[in-house]
Amino acid sequence: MIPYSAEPFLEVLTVYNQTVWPGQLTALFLSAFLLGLLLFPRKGSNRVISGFLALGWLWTGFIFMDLHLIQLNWAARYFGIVFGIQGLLLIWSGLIKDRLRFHGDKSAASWAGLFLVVFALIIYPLGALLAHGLASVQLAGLAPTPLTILTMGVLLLCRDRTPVHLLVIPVVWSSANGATAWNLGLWWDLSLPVAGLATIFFSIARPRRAQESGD
Amino acid sequence: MNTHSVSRRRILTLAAAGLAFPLGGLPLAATPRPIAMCPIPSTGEAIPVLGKGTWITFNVGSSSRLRDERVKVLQAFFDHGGRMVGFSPMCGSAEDVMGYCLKRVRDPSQLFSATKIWTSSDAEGVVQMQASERLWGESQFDLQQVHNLLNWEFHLARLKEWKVSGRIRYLGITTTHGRRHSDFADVMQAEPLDFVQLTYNILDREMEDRLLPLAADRGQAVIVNRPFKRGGLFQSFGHHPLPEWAREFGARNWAQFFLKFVLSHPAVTCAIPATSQVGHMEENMAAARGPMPDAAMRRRMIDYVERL
Repeated sequence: MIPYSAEPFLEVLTVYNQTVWPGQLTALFLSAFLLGLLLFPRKGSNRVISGFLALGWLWTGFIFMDLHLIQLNWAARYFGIVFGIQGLLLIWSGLIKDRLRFHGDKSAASWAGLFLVVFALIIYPLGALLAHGLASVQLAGLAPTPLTILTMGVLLLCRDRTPVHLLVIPVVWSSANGATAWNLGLWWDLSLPVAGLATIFFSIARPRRAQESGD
Repeated sequence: MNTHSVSRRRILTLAAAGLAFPLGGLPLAATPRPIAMCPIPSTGEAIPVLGKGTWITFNVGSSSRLRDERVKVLQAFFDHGGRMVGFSPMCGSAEDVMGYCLKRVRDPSQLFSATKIWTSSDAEGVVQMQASERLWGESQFDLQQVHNLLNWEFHLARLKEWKVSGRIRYLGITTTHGRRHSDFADVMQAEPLDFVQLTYNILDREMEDRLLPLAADRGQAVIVNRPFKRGGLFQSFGHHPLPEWAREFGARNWAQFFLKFVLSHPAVTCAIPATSQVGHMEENMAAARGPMPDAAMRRRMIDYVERL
């Protein structure tokens, strides 16, 4: 049961965006930087990418969920905890253990991952702008929908086997939030469950040879 | 068909018309027909048969624009004789928004406040009550209910204490569609409840079999939630023509058709449809005026929608 309608949800996003401004400029800069690191990796870029994603999940969980969305939905407190857990998992796997390699290969999974990254950083916010206006646009790193799509895309770019433990929360969230988008009539946000399904498909269909060879 | 549907529990009081309208409300020339009133069995206090729910519609967060729109909705509700407003802790910011609205409407003393406790925690129930009092600016609630029977044994005992101390005037329990009807009936049988709240509409009529007759037998007022099946009735039937014979009981649109069906059940005290629009509020409140369908007409209404 969704205890609110689309209009107040978009108002919450509007107020949130007003509150964090000019944080959007930082988010856009970091997004461009992240895309650059994915396309043109440097030494240490895997840790930097992991850190960006972790920061995004922690921020979204404890700022957006726990301070803003909670006005409309008492469950947002628990969403915030889940987002925080995802952030900590990224810190553990990507920063502390340094196990993530985001360079991709020529597989379909990698191309799908790259597409999801571009979608999250560029196409999704443009679509949201057209659908609902500038004031309520969600940006990756600051808000849940593009952040989740971005994360799933980046994880598909993992050079080794797609890390399942880092996919669980984003995929589950994509499904749950897809149901919310459907109920609220936020049709552009249905891109999230579509991205989730694509992530599941390409993670499963990833060629085992590519995974085992580590190329 | 009877012009006024009368039973032992239902009073269409023309004399109450003067009490149903707030001072300084509608101008005399525009005064509509009086709103139907119904007594609360445990005390005989008469309340309007139509109240207002707040699920989703009043959960608008901190937006001043949306809150100010809700002030207009609440004002229209009061202007048309409404009193009971229902809440629950699941409604997000609705209680906070309600407190905002009460500070801005004319004559907020009309309000009949009906809220709920919804927690498995003993202590949290007290916290929810205190939060409601703070958000509404109310030191005494008219009605406090245990929602969906969650930890009902503890919370109901606490409500009885609060009723004795005057912190609340009435106590009750609530259920939403399909939930724990057998347990609900057991509590209705065993406990001295003033109110029960349940789901009832022209499609969801299971309550007619047991709970509504039981409430009538036990002298418990009935509040109906989801009279429109959360808007589902409009989605299912709204594009069909309203039958011409609906005018016989004063229904001019589907909202009034559905509400008059609910309100005409002899066990029903009050229904609480939710809306965020002044126009819809006015349409809804019109359903509480004029004739109500009798048993034969109710059967005809059911047959009509079931054939669509």
